[in-house]
Amino acid sequence: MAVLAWVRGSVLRGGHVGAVVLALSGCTGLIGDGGEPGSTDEPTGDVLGSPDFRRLSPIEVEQTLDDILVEVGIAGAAGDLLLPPPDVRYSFSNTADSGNFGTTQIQSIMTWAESVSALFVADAPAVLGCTPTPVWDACVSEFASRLGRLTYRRPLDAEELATFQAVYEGAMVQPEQPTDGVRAVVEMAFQSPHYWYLSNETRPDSRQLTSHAIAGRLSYFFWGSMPDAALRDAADRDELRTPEQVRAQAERLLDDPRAEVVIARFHREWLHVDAATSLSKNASIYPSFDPALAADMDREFDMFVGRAVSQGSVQDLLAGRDTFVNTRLETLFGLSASASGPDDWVLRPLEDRAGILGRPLFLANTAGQGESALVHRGVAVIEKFLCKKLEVPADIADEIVPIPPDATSGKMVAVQDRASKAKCSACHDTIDPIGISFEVFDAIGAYRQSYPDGVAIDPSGELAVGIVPEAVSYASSAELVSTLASMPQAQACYASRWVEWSTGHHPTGDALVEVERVAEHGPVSIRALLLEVAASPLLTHREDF
Amino acid sequence: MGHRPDHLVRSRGRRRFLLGGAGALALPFLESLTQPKPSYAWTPQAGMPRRLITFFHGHGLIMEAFVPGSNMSMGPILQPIADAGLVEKSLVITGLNMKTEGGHSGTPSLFTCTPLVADQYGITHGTTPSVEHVIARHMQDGGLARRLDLAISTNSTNPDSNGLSEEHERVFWSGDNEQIPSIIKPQLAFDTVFPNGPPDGMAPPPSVDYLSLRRRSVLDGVLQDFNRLQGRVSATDRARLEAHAERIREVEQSLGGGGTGPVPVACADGLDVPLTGLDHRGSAEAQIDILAYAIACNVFDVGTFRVHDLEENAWGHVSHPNLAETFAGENYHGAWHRASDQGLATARAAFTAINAWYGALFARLLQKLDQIDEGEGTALDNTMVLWACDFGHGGGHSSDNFAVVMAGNAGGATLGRHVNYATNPTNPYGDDSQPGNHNLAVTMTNAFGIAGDTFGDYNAVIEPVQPGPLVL
Repeated sequence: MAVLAWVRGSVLRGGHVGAVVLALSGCTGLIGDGGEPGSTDEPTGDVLGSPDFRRLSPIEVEQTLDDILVEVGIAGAAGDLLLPPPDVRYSFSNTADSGNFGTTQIQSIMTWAESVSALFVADAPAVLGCTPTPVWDACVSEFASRLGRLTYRRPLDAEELATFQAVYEGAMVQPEQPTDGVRAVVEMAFQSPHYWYLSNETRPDSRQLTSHAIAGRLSYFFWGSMPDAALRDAADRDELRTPEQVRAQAERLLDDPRAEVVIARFHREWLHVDAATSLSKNASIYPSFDPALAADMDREFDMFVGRAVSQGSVQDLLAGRDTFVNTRLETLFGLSASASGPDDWVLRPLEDRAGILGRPLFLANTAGQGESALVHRGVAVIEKFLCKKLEVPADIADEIVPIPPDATSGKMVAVQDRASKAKCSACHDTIDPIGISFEVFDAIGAYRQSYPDGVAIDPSGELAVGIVPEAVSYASSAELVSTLASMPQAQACYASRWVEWSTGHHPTGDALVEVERVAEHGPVSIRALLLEVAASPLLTHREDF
Repeated sequence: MGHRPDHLVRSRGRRRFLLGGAGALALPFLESLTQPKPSYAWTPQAGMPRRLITFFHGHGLIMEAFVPGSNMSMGPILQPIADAGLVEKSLVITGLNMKTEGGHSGTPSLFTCTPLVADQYGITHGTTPSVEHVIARHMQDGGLARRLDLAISTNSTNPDSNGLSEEHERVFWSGDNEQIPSIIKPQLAFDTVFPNGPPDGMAPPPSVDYLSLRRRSVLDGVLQDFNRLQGRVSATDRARLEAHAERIREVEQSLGGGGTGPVPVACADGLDVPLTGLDHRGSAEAQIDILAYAIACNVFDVGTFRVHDLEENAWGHVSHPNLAETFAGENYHGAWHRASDQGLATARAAFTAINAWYGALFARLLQKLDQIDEGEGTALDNTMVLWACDFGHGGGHSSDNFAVVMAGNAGGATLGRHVNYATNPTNPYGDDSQPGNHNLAVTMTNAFGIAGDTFGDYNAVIEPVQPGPLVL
């Protein structure tokens, strides 16, 4: 069974993700709105594909360099790439349109490339396998071809190699050092658009990408870096033509340990969580929150995610109850001891929390230094879990209700106040009940039944029709999450995030329609989902040309 | 990530190049490719500031503690300027209104004076250069800006940080959707400014600018790649590529051009900045010192110092006694909201102290510059130093009645005064007739010899704004 059925022109049953109820008028829309298929329910294009050609993120640029240095056999580190960090307002660090380079950035890249070239010529004969001469010869030409294949992620064509020759010769007109020509070749390779952008080169008279372009997309999807030798060789043999060939390579990449890093990064960026080791908590309230516990929280999150992705379904990720704990986390979770120490991680079922939103890392991120932040948690469920975008109504400055300084049970006063104000309640009637269900988790994610001032927490509630197609009653956040996770829109939302990750764009139009088909097939293996996305036209085809 | 900067291990050629005064982040060049030429593209007229430093933080001020009293008696926030004996070199301006857009969403247009635009995700960005960048370009006759952007942030003391800001205050722009990042770690700032130590003024300029020669060859090749690619991508991609290529062309065209002013032999005398093992406050002071010396050494024309306090988790670098207890469980932004007139006295007291710390940093910057002899005066006398923030009344997040301090050289305006345009400059709300960010920008551009009485967009505004500079 194909998880994503790329069927043209089929009539949808029940509408697509973009058409799921938008009852909270003026408050929510669909993330990525604007690309819904038109007035009909039929896909509008012939073939799905990525509309734009994506620039690598700074993380990917540096990871690629590291991998190239390893392949070339160079030890040492280049200079810092002084670029603005990924804009956190975007879903992911690899979003395609997250800012333009000014001359300041261009100069930073130039300086960075020069620090790279210095590494290459520190022992040029060893790196090149020969000694460069003042003239362009077989030694340098072979080196340029080899380097170009890595940085351009495909073999150079004759014209490109000629450009490298011109660059080399230009630098050797009046060199300061005999290796200036080699440095120039390296500097060009690392400043070329072919290094900085993922190719969407297509086959002649086709929207299907070339095997080399597909190889690049696959490797940055799963590894956040360039294709390895096996993938490059497959592309050279043009063996990424069919979905089966692409899927086979995708499977290999997904099974590689390098994918674990990217999978962890994807989920942290999706939920917009920073490492717990970077968070500050009030030591007088949370004396147990030390660097060791913070590191455990980071690891638990990644292990939970890794297990779900490798072995489980979307439902397991969104609502699973089992997680890995060590002795410190057993204490945090209030579990009886079973692990033998901080390095012994055992799988335990947890009754009070469900899925990725129950992880201490998420809960600590959606909290201040001393108290939980129920609005942040409610918003995360709506925006991250259900792909609904909240729009802040205009002119609400006068309506803002300050949260009392103790911010424990006193925050409920603000909740009640918001409920009484129309401008606030338009959104907070939905946000706050969700957030309150998570109030049983404190600012480091430990379970509690009452606030520090003794006031009991009631996590039960009801989610009215609007953000969900049918009203949902729940006794706890775990129950709420489990119910939401079983809904098609939550699963489609999750799938759409992966599509966004893999293409650099939030799926719209036809792509959105196809993503929704995940929901039609019910809970699916995440692994199957990823492989299906990888082999789909979303990655292998280009939409416009 | 986490690579060690190798600025310190470059070749001798690079050292000679840099000794002339160029920095690694903004890279002008002393000489033409093969023939040294007199540099310093821009010649300030007598009395005109030679350089500009903008000191910026977010969340406004506790205004009643900021506005000077009669005879320039200073409240707690500006008292450090008085303590430094520099009131006579400072001009306090109150009663300005933000005209482009209000609230936090207006902050990114404070210095661009043009409205933001949203992309397909609804995420907004600036489309035009902010005023300090326009001035920086002007000072290089339209060439590349020589600017140094330093900051203090929560990550300044984070050993895992690579030294660049991760915050997105979106205040300073070099062009359409082109944010200007800042360096948040003193070590990286120092290495960037002085890759081989402070300039000693001894090395002769190179007879051949080898690096520029190589760069030109490299960028020619890179641009050929861009040109070939243009014909093989969609129209959308073509525009993005062209924007990228155009910036490369600008850099290429600057090779061997631009330059720096005369480097004062003693510009770095007294430079003794601790770079490691610093807490947040120590890091901020080190950044201020590096900025002062970099400017005084003519390594850069324009500098910014930013306090990255617009993030919600900004507590780390503004740490202040009792803050944790006062605001347990709250984020920095939320706590500012409670510093309103109707809010908590403890909040106002805490943020007054934080503002006063900013005042102390600003005074330190002025003091450092004033200790550097330059011509018949000091480096401060030849520098416009602007202290600005996004709001007036911080507790109210008020875009009205924001205030600035213009110190050193205000383009001829008499210093040692308080100029006020508001009926009551501590009110959260001002009158629409008050001047605004556009007028401030024109005042600044005029001071640097850029003719004209407008800056930015006068149509897309939230209240009327008149052309012309501030009447000072």
